Amino acid sequence: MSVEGLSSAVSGLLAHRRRLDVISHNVANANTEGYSRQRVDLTANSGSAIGIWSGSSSSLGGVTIDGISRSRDAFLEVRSLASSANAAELQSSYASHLDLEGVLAEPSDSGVAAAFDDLWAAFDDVANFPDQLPQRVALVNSATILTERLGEADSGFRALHTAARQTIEATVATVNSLAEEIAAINHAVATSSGGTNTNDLLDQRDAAVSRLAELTGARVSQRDNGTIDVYVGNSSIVQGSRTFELSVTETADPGLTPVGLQRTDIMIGGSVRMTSLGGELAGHVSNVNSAIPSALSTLDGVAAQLISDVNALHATGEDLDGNVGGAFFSGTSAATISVDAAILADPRAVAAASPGSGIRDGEIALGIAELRNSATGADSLYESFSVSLGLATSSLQRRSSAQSEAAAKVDEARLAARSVSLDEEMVDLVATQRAYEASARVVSAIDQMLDTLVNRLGTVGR
Amino acid sequence: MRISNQSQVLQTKRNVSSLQGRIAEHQTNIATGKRVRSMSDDPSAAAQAYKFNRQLRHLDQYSRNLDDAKSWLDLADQVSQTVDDRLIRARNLMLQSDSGVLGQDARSAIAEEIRGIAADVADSLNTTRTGHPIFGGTSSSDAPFDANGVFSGNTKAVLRSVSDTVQLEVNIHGDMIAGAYDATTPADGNIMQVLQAVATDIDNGLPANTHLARIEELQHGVHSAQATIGARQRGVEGHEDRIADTRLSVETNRSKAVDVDITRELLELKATEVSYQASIGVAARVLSASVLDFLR
Repeated sequence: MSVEGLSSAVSGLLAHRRRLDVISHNVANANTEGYSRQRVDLTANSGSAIGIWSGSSSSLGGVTIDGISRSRDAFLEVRSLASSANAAELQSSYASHLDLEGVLAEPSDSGVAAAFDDLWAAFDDVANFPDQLPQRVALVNSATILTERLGEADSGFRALHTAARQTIEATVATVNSLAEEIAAINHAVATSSGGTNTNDLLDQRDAAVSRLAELTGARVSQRDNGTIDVYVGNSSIVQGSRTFELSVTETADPGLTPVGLQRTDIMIGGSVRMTSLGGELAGHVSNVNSAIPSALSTLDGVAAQLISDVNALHATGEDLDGNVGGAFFSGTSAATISVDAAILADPRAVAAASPGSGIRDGEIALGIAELRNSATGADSLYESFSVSLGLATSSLQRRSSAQSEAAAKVDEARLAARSVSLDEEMVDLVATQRAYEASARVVSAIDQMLDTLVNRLGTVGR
Repeated sequence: MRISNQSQVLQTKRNVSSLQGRIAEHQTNIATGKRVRSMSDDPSAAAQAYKFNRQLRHLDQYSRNLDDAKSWLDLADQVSQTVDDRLIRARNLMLQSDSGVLGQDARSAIAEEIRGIAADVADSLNTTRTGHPIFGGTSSSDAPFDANGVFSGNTKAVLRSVSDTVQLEVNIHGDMIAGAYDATTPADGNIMQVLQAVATDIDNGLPANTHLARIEELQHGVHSAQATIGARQRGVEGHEDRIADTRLSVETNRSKAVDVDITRELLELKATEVSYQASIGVAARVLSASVLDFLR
């Protein structure tokens, strides 16, 4: 028993005071998002025979604070990045398909399908009363409504395209600022001196990386100096304290020109096209480059089929004034289709009769009305379009909810590993308090012993 | 596995909100009465519903066309009845003129009445429906028959779609009810021609009975037109029954595909509600418990 014992007791006091500090930090951040609980790593000093004679205090027992570490499960962290990126990509694809489907809003009594049937019915009515004007006016009206419905669906899809483009721009801006943030933290971590506690900075960086993974499917590789590199696909977007900025470009694409759109690409460093994106951004990019253009072109196909079918039959007819039928619909696509100006101006120009049969013949109008049964007609095309859109949406919905479920499980496990349990902290608090008290008691015991040694010893005969 | 406060809270929130979502889903199902509201809800049921909706709209139009065909045939039936009545009157007058007791004045009066009947029959045969002369085919002529029997209509069929595949012919050709026009021998021609010939013969003191055979042929013509009209009317009734049956079965099928089974929905709602209440009750107890309560 000696002065060295005193120093070991003091090291205990210091260590447990430090533990108390950390516990209080943990408790304060029990509900902070992205916080990982911290632990004081303690190591016992081993006593050595030499130390006794050399007088080195540290070698005579006691405790050393090795550092303060974050408790997290590295495996779960990596899995969480990958699964949340997948879930976000499917979720954004699903949401965009749901929007596309919402534009058509089938099955309903007021959508394109109903407008098709109203048109055939109106042709039937004209066939029933070929020489009557009211039925012809009603026909022009029904036809106009159908062209409007097709035009509305077209502009609805285009509005979704514009919105998705804006989302991409905003997402890319967020990605860039997250990359900057990660690079800044990397810099701070690399340049911090040994004793500084960087744990809270690292938590911030983890949060930024998770968000980045959701947005782009980013992956991370750790470096020795505590910094991380962030990759998206095979391009690196953060290297230590450097970032490579993402940007959005549009280029002409032969596949998209017919619907009047351009291909949207994400470029890195201003010149290289990113090929393997993930996360939300991938969902949005495939939405603007494939899902919306294909919906637009299918809709154009429907309009073109309607125009060619009706016009072909209409041209074989004769109108009320004995003239050969002109075009019934003009235009070429869902956006441009309209009832021909001549017919709009005067419904007498609807060629309902077959030539030479008189004004009370409705054979041609009847023939056009029969298009409703055509297996290759416009409304069959529209039907299969709307059904296949529904199928795609519903399969995305199932995949997305399964993936979200899986991601939620991983996230839960990850959170369980890293976040604060108050009960645990309280028990630790009690234990630490006791240990602190005990260390203090040791100090006073040694003090008393020293007192005995100094003041009571050698006083014989005093 | 380690459980932390955050993961406990997160899990509770997730479970409670998923139950709330299910309750909201049941609520919407019950409120709208529809289990399938968009194509992606249940693609195969929605695709069926889409087809059924189209079929119902088509049936609506077919039944309108059928109503039109029916009123057209009813009108033709009435007119043919009138023509038949007029022919019986003409035949009686002819027999009367041949009785040999009548003076020239009386014979002239009969001839005049027969000419009048010819004009009446022409008038009846020119009956229009919303401007369309029903025995004139599809021609542009407003009055296809004149009093001398000259026909300016055509024999084109007037058709009404009554199903995806059937188009009913609703008109009777002018020469089918009135007999064929004969430019060279008017006495072998149509009703108007023969009646004019009869009137001329009576005026000239010739016997009218030479025309009786032709008049009877013409009466047969009118009767067979009436039979055709009757057969078509029965056809129309058949189609009406078929459309009503089809509509019923399509509506039933559509309802099966997309409508909510209220009883089942309510039971499921009740079950979900119970688990919702239980889960928030348990959450309230679990989340509020802490070791703090037991530490001095």
